[in-house]
Amino acid sequence: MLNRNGDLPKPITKELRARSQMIIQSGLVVFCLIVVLLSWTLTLNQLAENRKSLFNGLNREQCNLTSILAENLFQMLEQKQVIELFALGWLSNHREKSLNDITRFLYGGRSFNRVVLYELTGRSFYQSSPHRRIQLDHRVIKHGIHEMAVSGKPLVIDCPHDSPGLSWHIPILFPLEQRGKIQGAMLLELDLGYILNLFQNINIGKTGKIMIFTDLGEGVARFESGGLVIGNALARMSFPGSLHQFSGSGVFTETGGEYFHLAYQRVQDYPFIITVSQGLDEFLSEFDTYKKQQLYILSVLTLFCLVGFYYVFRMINRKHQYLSALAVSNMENNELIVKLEAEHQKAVNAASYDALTHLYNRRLFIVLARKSLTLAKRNGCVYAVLFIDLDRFKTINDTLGHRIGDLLLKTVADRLVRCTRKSDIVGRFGGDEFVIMLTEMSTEKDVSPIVEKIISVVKEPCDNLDGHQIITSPSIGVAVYPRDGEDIDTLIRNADAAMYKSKRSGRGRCSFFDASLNTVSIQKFELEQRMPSAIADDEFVLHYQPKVSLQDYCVVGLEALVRWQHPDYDLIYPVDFIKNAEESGMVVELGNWVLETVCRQMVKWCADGLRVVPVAINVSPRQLKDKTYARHFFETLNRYELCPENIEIEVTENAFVEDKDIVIENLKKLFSGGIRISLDDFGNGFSSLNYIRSLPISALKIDRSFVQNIRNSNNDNAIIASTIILAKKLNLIVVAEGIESQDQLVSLKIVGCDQVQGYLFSRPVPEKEIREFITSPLRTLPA
Amino acid sequence: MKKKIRAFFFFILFVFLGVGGTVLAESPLENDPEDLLYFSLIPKKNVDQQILELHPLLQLLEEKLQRTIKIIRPQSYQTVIEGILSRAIDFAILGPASYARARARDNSVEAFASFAQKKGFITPRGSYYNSVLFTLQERGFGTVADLKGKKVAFTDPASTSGSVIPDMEFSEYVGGSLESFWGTRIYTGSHDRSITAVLRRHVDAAFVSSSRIDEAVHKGRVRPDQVVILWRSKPIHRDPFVFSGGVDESLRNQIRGIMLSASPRLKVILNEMQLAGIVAVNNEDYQAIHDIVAMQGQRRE
Repeated sequence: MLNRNGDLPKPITKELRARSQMIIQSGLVVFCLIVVLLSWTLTLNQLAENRKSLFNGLNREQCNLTSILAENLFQMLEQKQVIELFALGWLSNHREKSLNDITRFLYGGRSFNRVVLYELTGRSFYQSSPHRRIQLDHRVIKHGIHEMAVSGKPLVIDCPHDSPGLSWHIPILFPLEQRGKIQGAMLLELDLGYILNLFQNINIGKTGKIMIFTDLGEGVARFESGGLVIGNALARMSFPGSLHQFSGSGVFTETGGEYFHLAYQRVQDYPFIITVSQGLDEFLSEFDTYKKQQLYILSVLTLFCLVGFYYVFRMINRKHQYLSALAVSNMENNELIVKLEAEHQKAVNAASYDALTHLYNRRLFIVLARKSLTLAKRNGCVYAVLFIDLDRFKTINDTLGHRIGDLLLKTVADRLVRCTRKSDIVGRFGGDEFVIMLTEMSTEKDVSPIVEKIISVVKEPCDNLDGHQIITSPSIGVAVYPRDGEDIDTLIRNADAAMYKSKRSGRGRCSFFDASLNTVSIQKFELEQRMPSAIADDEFVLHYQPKVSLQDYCVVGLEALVRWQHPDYDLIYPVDFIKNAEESGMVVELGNWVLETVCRQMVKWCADGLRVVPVAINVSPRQLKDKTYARHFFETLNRYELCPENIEIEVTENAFVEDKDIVIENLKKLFSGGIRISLDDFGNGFSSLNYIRSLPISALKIDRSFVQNIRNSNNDNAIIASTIILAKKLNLIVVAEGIESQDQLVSLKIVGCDQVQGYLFSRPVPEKEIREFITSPLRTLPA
Repeated sequence: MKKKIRAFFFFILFVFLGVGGTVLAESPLENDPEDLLYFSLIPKKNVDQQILELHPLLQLLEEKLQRTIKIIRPQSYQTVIEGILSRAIDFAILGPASYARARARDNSVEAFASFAQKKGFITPRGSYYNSVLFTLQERGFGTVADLKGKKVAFTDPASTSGSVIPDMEFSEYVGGSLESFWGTRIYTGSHDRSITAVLRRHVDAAFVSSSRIDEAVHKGRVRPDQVVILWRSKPIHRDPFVFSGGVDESLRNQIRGIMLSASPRLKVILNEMQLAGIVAVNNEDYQAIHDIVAMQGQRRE
């Protein structure tokens, strides 16, 4: 768990996380509490609202009821007007007419049972039905009339009843007024049956009550439980003392302690108050049940909620603990990983770099060199591998000690690095073995100067190596890509081989794996002196290189190349001695030796039963200037009983510079004698194809420099292509020299080249090795 | 709540249309009093139902008498008593006690006939019935003592079986006044309302006429197994048809003749009324109740 900068998480991050965790938890607690609180508040509020609305409904209902009942009672009592009219009429008519109309009206109206009319004295002068056993005292009536005169309101008479304990009617005394003057009184008995019928269908609940009071607060009738309560129970009716208004409502309490809601209204113009009430316990019973249910549900939900939250917290805490443990373990892992990475890096470095010199070790060198070579295959540049060994290092180590040896190695390493470019790869393979790859050089010629420089720099004395001055020298072997190998292993092996060759030839030397590249500073004079005896002493040897047809990869001929096996200088190549031989004229003798040797070899191969192929020999211009050369040539062939097809000759364009006529004469003789003649190193010289047309030749050998540049120069490609086309027109066979890679092979085959010769198939090798090519001429392409 | 509102609405209609309307339509002032006979009856149950049941009999009387019979709808027993006494009502069905009370104030009031009933659920066949203390099986009252301090329904202070007899006989039975025995006494105005009050559990028990229980059982208002009778009075003579003092003898005889005749039509009518017949009664038949009423009057004094 590295952060963006790759640092490990610091303890402060952990602290921050813990704090944010705490904030989240506190937030959750607060949220939970708010939710619970809110639901309780809302529910309680809702319940309160419901209760209020129920009360409002009850209040409205009761007020409406009282108002209607009061109005009804008023209407009913107003019927007394008619009776009053009859009575006053009767009085006006001097009491002559019958009062039966009153009686009949009474039973039409049905709300009053009985009418009694009184004079001012209190004595009755009419009653609708016979009097009861107990009659009202006339003084009571007289007093009543007096009272009414004062109050202007009817009176409810508390009369003795004729049936035991029961008052089934309410006697009300009204004044008989005429022109504002009281003439008498009228007692109307209000039938409670009427009240009962009026109330009977009103559903006001079990505890609901409708009561009629006089305005003095005395109970007149009480309706409850579907009937009227009269008698002593009526006397127990308590009148809420605070009903002063015309109408109103409110919650009251009985002496028993039960609360009830009551609405009241006074009856207009009459001394009655009507109340409607209902016990709150009953009224709210449904609501209370509902409320209890709601609160119970809410409590259960709250409990669930709290328990749920508790478990969530526990889970979060646990998760947090796990995460913390995980974070700690991650941190430990990371530390371990970083350590391991460091160790790994160290190990890699150890595996890749030389601890002493900090140069690449063998492993990394090979990796890097291999990578460079893949690049080389594309860019067509020349690469070189230098295998360097310090001379006398073992002795230095043994005599001066390893410390000094190590210091020397470090110094040499520094010097090597200094001598090379940054793009070059410098490595130490162990001991005193250094390997360098020189990269991206345009030609093989660029290699030598660097190698020379390395030799001279390393050779310089190493001062003050722990108080010692040491002089050492390097032995260097060079392998060149692609000539000496296309892969790094081959190149190193060949460079190593070349290094041993250097060691053998003395200290501070350099050798190319391809010996032809070695520049040996052999004393010209010495060679000149030695050459005649060398021929006599058989110091010269012939090496052979096969020519391969591109059509079927069959060996179609060999070229014989001379080498001087000098006792002091190892193998000397023609480049080091031919020029001398030309100058001294020894070349003629050498040429003859070559011819004789080839012929002898040919005979031997034939004797050995081999199916020989033509062998070409190089003929120097000097030889061709001799008029007898052609004759001599044929004589030699004859002597060895060889056919002209067995031997071919190769001439360079230089041959046509001096004594051109003699040369051409010789060549024509040879040509006509059946000898095939090739023009060697074509392209470097002056000759144009037009000129060549006149020459007695049968084949062109394109110079190796053109062939080597095939891959990276389109111009060279074009030159070769056009040359081949023209040569074909002249019926000349085209042979390409110095072919080293498959790419070159492919390119040449495409442009129509007939034969190739080069390291791709074989470098020039001694007779012993070339036999294999003769015995099995069909070659396969090297992998 | 809705129920209440609906009941309230009907109540308003009843108050403003029902009552107000009947006041004018039935006012005797608008008719020729000479041709009309006024009839009323004590509200033992739903008055309209009672009138409907009596309608064939009254129709028979109208036809035979060639007079129109006008029915006065009573508000209470007292309405009928006062009506008979004021002679605004010519003849009526009173309860025995109502009759006794009316007779006490005017001895020209005369009982002349009463229905004879068929055997009912708790009432024997004939001209007698009982006042019963009725409660429901499920209320769990096994004896009269269980009802002490409870709420009881009476009918009308003037009702024989619903008030007068219980007041007298039941007081003797429990050995004390009704007031001290009962917690609350409710007067419902009719026997049927008393039964309803019991069924609705507004009250714990009710004093009602055994005939009303018969009918309630017969009509399925109450299941027989629900009915518990905890007390039963001595037989009470059935409600008498009563003439007011204003009815002359010839009319009395005419009416007697029609109602006590053995005419097949009357038989059919009575059969439809689930009655055994009409029997002639006289004042002496109600002597027992006269005594009780008199006694109550004296007790009051």
